[in-house]
Amino acid sequence: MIQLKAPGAVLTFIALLAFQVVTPAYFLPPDAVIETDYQGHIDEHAAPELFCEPGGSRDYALTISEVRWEVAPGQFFTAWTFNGVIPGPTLCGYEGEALQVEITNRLDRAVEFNIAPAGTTDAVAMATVASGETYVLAHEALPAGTLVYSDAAGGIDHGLYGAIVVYGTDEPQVDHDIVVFEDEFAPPVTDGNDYFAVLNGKGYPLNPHYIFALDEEVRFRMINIGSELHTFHIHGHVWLDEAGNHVDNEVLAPGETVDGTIKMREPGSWMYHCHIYDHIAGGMTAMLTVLPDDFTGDPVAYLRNGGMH
Amino acid sequence: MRPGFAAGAIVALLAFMVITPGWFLPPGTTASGSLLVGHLGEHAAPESDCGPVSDDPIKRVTLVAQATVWEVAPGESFPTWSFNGIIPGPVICLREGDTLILTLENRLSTIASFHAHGLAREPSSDGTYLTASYAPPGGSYTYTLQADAHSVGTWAYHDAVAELDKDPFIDGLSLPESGEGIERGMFGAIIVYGEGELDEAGLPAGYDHEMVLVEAEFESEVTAGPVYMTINGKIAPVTPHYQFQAGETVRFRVLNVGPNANHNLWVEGLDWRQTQSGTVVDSVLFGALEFGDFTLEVGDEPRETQYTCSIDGHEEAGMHGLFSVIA
Repeated sequence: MIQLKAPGAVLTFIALLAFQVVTPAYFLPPDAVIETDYQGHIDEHAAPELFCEPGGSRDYALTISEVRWEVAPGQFFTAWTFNGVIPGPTLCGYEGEALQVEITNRLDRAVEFNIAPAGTTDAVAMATVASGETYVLAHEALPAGTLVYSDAAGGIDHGLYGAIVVYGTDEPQVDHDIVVFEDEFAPPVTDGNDYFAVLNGKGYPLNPHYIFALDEEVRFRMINIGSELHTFHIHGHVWLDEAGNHVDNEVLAPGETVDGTIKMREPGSWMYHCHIYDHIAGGMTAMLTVLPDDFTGDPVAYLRNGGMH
Repeated sequence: MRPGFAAGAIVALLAFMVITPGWFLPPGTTASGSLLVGHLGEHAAPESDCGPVSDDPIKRVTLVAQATVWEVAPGESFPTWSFNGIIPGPVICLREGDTLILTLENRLSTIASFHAHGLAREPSSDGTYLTASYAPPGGSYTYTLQADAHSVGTWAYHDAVAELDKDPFIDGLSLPESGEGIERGMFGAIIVYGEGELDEAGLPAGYDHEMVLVEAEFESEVTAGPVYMTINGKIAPVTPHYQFQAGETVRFRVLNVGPNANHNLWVEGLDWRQTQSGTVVDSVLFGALEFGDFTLEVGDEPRETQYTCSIDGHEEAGMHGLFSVIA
């Protein structure tokens, strides 16, 4: 007879629960539903959608740590992240406001925390945060536009980057404002030989599935944070590029950023992707749904049930 | 006539043919085998790859997806796939406001689709796997698309589903779009003319010539041989030989339809002006499936030069040709 002592059983039970919380994917059946990241026109939302309200606090805390990052269904590597996610959380402010970021570095190496306008390497703020240290970075007056915060000491390749959206005084009115980071994770970062091309840190179908309503104007802040050229193509939609040409596929050199405001013209589910087929094969494709005029109900539930294809 | 004189005349004629082969070639062909295009003899009307564009607002086009042995240069062929047996496929020419009704007949043993850039459509005419808008092997599918005000410009069409019925799992992921067709040559150009861009005859107004130039790479997996970097489906020396008259204005519609590579286009001493935005550049860089619409003033000086893609290794793999300005 095995006599199980009560405290031991309780501890085992707690350990098992903790394990489930830490590694939920471990307990999924092989054909489990893949949790697509639905974003955009969901539930009630004020239009335009803002990354932050005017007059709010601009004090942020970022913790840098390693996580097991699920880059594609069932495929993981050890990434370096801000707050456990790639990209890190989108910070926000208004032109001229002060920003304060408390940075805690839990990696075993120093991080060169750097803030620069997207598409440039002209840092507007930087700080070295030693391993195990916390540093409070204060920036007095934010410039308008899209900024990128990142680790300038090689951490970008591992996932250490995020955006800061700073609204100017005369921002164009849009219904949704979206940051899309294009990137690739390649050996040796991915632990094995696997290569992934990603939209906002994930390959298909874990990357964002945007939901918009018909005729909405959506601003895409496209940022190529990777080391390869990428493009950004949306099926079924055409917009004006920054020079004034009709395009449906923007091309972004490494480090480049493009701002595009795109009107949602046609109901249905559409692919958006990088048009380089080696990158599509690496996962760099995702979905975007335009709800019809008369749509009511829960779009996420509808899409999960296979609607709008 | 004395036999000796006749024999002498034949020998002389043969010698003349050897020395000046261009004299005896059919019009439009040059000694190197390149296709001479542009300013050839008399031409009253502006020349265009579209020819006169009809004013019927419904344009019906049939494309046939088929196996093709494609000759990229004399003596260099490989078995591949195409639309209508040619690479690139036929140029589809539309006016703003037109509806395109396109029937795709599929004679391949895999599924095939027509995916258009730039045109408005419902998902059922998108040519993708997720929307099941493709033609099964031996079957057909009809697409309806609109050229609206936003469609004015230069675009590509291509297959987007080939082989997804056979092997939908690439690198462990079930992906919604396939590059198999585009890698093998299933692509072509779409031109949408805006108001005032065509004259009464349906030819480009305000230009002496209008050319479509398609850049694409064929990898070794496709050719079972060398990599070919092609212009309009061909490698040098059989790429187009552009010839224009001094002072002419030419509209170039340039497309990169290669599945992966960047390409550019460069002609020494010439600037490329984007037709819509007016931006002037001296070399044009294209990412995959990027398209450009340029106005080129060829200048007043006659010259013989080359157009080329200056990206490492592309010129050597065939991506160049002759560019002449004649008096």
